[in-house]
Amino acid sequence: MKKRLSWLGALVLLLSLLPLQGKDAKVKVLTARLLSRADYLSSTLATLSKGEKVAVLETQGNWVKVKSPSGGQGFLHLSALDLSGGKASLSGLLPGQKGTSEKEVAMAAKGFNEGNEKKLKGTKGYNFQDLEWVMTQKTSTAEVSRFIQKGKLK
Amino acid sequence: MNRKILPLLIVFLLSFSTLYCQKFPFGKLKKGASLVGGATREISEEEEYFIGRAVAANILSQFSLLKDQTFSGYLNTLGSTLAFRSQRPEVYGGYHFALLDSEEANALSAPGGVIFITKGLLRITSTEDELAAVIAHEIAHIVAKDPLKAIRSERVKQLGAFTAGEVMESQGASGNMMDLFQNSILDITGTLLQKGYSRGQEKEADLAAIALLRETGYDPSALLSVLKKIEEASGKPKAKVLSAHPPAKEREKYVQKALEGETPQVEQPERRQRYSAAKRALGL
Repeated sequence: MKKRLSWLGALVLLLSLLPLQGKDAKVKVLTARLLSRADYLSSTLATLSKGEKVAVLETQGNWVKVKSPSGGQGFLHLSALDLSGGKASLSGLLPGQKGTSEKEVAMAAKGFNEGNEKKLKGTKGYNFQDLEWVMTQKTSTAEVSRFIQKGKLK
Repeated sequence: MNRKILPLLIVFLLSFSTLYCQKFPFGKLKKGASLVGGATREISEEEEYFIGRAVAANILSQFSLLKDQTFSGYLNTLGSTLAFRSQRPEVYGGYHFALLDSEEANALSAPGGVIFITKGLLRITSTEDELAAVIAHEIAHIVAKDPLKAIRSERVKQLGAFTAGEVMESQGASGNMMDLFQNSILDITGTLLQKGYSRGQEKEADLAAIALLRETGYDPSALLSVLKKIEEASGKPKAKVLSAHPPAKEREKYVQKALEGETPQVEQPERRQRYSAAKRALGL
């Protein structure tokens, strides 16, 4: 009887681990393409935004097969996902601590962010105007595909 | 061992190894969550993006930008081709590549994926594969988060304290969030433009660049040929060539070793044609 119970306990333990297959992950980049295959040049099934939750189905090397919030299945590169399942606690963060304004505390809660950049804009030593031009310089996947094909690249 | 515990232990170990180790890339998770500079605070992707934007804006206040659409289109397509095959194809705001109007030969990567090369360095390259080798090296720094590692560890610790709400009275001015941000930017630009990365970081970036060139189908030996040209250019009077990098001769040694057995590729006509066209657009 006792022997059966210990095997039963083992079975329960095994079943308790199964839900990890469907572990949630969050998109950590501004936008990520959900791809049909584990290849950057494969077709885009959907575009996911930062913070969207996906269910992890399996991994293939650096690629993660996921189920998107709309139910579609596809691949995301590991570098687009936060699999850690949470951030450091912000408990104890109290506005008005000595030497710190409420605004600063709010900013600190988010770490370095747009608020810091806004304060830098217009100050000497930072050229955000030209940076905006740089940030508009993008290329499409179709262009990259053509570039690879014509240049006999992989 | 207690015979009652044995089945429990066997099933636990089996289930752990099959479910966790096969389905979950623990090694990569650990890498992705690695702490920067050995400090107690991980810099998020979003923070890296905003730090990178400020670093790039700081660089752009010191160097003029060359806004030629033909060359920029070519450079960004070439850079994206490499970034797509790298170990970190996804960065918060995407990769961006730009050309600085400076005769000083240099290449710089701001955190988060803004990569600059100078006209002086472009002049030194003579093929698309050599230009790809330069960019692959910079992408390798982004993959390794090397620019972020230039932030002094005490600042990262202070940032950790800020976000945890432990703002210390004793921190005084250095505890100010904006000072922390600006000082972090200066740590990085100081490293990028003057101090340089460690020799170990540069070696890792060179070796990662070789792997990336192989992965994309570019000639890995192009890194060696461009290093030789950099060495040659450095010998010229008043030359300012990759001043924040270790001497090219030193880098050539381990690059040559990593390329042992590699047969240099014959230059592809299409690559030659588009590289020349892009350079011509700049009058080079």
